[in-house]
Amino acid sequence: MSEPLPVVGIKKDRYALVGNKSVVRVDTMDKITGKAVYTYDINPSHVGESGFVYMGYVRSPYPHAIIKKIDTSRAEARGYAVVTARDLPRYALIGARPHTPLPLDRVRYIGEPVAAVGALSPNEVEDAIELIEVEYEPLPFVLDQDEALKPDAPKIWPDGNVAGGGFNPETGPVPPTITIRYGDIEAGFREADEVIETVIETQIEQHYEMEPRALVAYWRGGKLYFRYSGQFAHSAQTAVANYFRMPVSDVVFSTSLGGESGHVLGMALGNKSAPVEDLIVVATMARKTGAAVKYGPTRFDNALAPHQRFPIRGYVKFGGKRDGTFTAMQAKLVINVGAYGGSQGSDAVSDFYHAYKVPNVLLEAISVNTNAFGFSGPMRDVGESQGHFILEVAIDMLAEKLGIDPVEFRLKNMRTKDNAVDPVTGNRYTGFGQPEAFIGAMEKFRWKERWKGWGVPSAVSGSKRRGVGVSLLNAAKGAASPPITGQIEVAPDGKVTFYTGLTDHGAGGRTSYAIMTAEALGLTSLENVKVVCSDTSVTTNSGVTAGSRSTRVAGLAIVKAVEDLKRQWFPIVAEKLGVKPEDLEFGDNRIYVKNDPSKGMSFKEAAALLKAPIKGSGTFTLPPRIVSRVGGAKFVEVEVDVETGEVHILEYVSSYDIGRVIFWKGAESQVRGGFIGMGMGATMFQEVIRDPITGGYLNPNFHDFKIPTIMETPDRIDYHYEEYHDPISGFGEKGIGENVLTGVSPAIANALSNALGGYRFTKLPITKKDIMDAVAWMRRRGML
Amino acid sequence: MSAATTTIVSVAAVARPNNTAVAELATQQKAPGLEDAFAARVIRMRVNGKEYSAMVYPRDTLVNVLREQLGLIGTKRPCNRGECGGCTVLVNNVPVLSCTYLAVRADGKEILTVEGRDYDKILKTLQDAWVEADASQCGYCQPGQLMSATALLKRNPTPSIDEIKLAMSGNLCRCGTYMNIIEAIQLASSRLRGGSS
Repeated sequence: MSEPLPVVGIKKDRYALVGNKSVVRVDTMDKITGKAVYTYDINPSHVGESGFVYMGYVRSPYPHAIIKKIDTSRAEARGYAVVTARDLPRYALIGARPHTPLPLDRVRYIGEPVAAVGALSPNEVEDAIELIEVEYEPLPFVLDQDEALKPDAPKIWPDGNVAGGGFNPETGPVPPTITIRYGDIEAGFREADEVIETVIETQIEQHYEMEPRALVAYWRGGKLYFRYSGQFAHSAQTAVANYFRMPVSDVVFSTSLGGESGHVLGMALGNKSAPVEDLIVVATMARKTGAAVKYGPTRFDNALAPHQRFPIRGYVKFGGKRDGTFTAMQAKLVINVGAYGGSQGSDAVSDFYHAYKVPNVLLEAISVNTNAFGFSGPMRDVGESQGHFILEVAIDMLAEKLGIDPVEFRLKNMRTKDNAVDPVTGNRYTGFGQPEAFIGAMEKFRWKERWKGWGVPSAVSGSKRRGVGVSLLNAAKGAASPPITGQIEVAPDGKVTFYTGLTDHGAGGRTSYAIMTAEALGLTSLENVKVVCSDTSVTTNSGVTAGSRSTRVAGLAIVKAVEDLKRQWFPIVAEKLGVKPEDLEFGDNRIYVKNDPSKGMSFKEAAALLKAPIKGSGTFTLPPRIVSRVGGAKFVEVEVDVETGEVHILEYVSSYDIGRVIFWKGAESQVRGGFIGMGMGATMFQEVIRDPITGGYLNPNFHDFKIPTIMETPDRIDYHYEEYHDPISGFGEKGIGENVLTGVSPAIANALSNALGGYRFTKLPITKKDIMDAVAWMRRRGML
Repeated sequence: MSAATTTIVSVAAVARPNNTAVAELATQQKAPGLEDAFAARVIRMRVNGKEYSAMVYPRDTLVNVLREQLGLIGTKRPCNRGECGGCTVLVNNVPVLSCTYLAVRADGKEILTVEGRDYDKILKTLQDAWVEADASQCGYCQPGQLMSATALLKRNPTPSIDEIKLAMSGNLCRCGTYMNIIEAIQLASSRLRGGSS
């Protein structure tokens, strides 16, 4: 390993607020007493209007059809406003598969907006939708990615169904096919004592975030204003301005609500990445009506469009030696990216070769357009959950065939800090806490006591059988990717404001940003610290709030902004104290002299020396050839009732190579919530079920699309943080938000296999029916 | 590009967006004698201890009246089909899904919402415990969670974990705050009985 990277941020032995277990979330009380205003709560007076035009969509009932005619006359005769493709600039295209925001002549998925209607109340929107008549000519359609690759499959695009280039909001454009090859794959298999070959696949899921997406738009003085519940205000601003060919500064994503503090955002979970189509259509409706337009999709609308978690089918062939050496890794991932593409599976592929050191690798990924849904989107990660399920179930199968404890196989072959580099590009990790993170969770889980061998349950009592399972975590998260900017303002009254283009999408970002701002200024309370998020009229672009990057990015921006503040502020304080500016430091709510800490003045007194607010501006540029990856593990013990198919999670222990924990309570809640709220659901319940004949949605609501309830809460959840000071950070931090989900599914699947005699679950979700299939398989073999 | 001035629908004329036009239309189309069934009427409710009256149509739900007419936006409407529990409020101390509860039924009733912090001690104690136990992340489902928890502690001041789970099982949370919710309810229950923690 090359020498350590220089430390960028603030490294201390003791922090006042960073990692402090007693700090509570700054915005909870407002959110649970009705004071916080979410986007759909915005009323006309918040934006200086006396009323809204409410908008809704007429949506395609067909997965694939020609639009022959759209008759809007009945709706328009009643005074409803209508927007169709005719109202849009005809040749302005957007997206991975270039398309108009409303279709000109063809729909490619069920729920695709065909026309938008505007009315004076949400109830009337429903009435107006009924009055639009659309004549379709249904076309043959295809939902499955492998089916779509067959030569006789219906063509969704003139050039076929291999997707056009995709776009990853974190890393930029992604090619439709990826091939990674190194070593000699054939030699690797020849060398192997055992080879496994299998097909492992994941399902289509939908986010079902509690706050549906929402949007308010209006034009004023030639400028276009938005209030939106989204993760990407600054990139959405650019996209909309480019579409309408306006100066970027004439498109404003504001969070301002008149005199009140800014509006807030519910959990995004990736479904609030920029739906540029919606932004454009709502803006067009606002222009056509001359009114402020509010769009809040119904739960049904939200279930259909636009994003879904994209399914991946993996064709896997792994080989290894009996001594536990992993000799050959081959996989082909076929990725269903829906009709228009979007996020693709590059992260799923890279996780394979990053996670394990294998000399011989051949990995291929192909992204395929289908009529299954509109856009492939992130859902708390961008393909890592799918990739980890395929990878970690297959790793278990190989270890089983080699007769090696699954933990030992992983420990022997996993990438650790001694070889923390990308084997393809040679780019090094910022910092890495493997194998310690993995071992930390393993010990907390007491794996060695509980693991009884392959297919041997950890305990049996009557019809209940217990099993344990493990998954490795190694995923591209927490990147210090550009742009990284932010400003800190100090007012003469001692009030501090951090301005960031990032947002808080419900996970606790705002609190983390406040903690780091206070810490950098030596404040020991959050009382006078305010955070302004994602308001393009006052914040600067700091990239997307995604990929577990926001804590690290904010930390870097904060330490840089404080450096700038010192340059402006310390000369004033130094003059008063009769010392040099470079002698001064922040700490304990004071600005003091480093060599003589008794000399100094309180933060408030120092602020009072200012005649007007000062603003320190911070930017950070990541040195070249550095990547961020987070490591860890997930351990699960399940209890299966072989009479009923009922599965109960007894214990879940996970670990994270987290850098330094910033907001302790928030991080713990992420660990718990990512497992309970999403991981268990993704593994055991959640699937968007479609009718194969019509393509229709069979469960587009909370009743039939099962997400975990409080009844499924596990008995015990514990975690291990492998804490260290990551050099490329503000305070040592990396990120947590997505890591709590990635790897949950394979850990549960492997534990179920252990409980049920080694029966392999290779498809998500693993429902009660699948459990009973396993029970029948065991009975046939005389195992029950 | 400047804002176009074409106004298809007049906004200024409607101070309070509602379904006036539809109700009128419906009234005109129906047989004589049925007008009353579609006409707006005045209801009176006590919400968080305050008297309110509202003009509502028969198809208006309680959540819409609370949010749009009374301005009580604390009550959310995540699914609008009675599936997620996010719109739960108390009507005469009983938790109801306000998205499937017609406003006309609330006439003469006592309503409690999350805005009633200073009116209801159990709710206030729960809200404080919610902050301490970090029982809310994005917060969108939490008004419903809190009202279900308030109803639980009103009828059972010392619930067991299983009783908490059962009482809260109709409230979905996608952030997965369930474990923290259990802890917050236990904390509030203990405090209401005079316990220190």
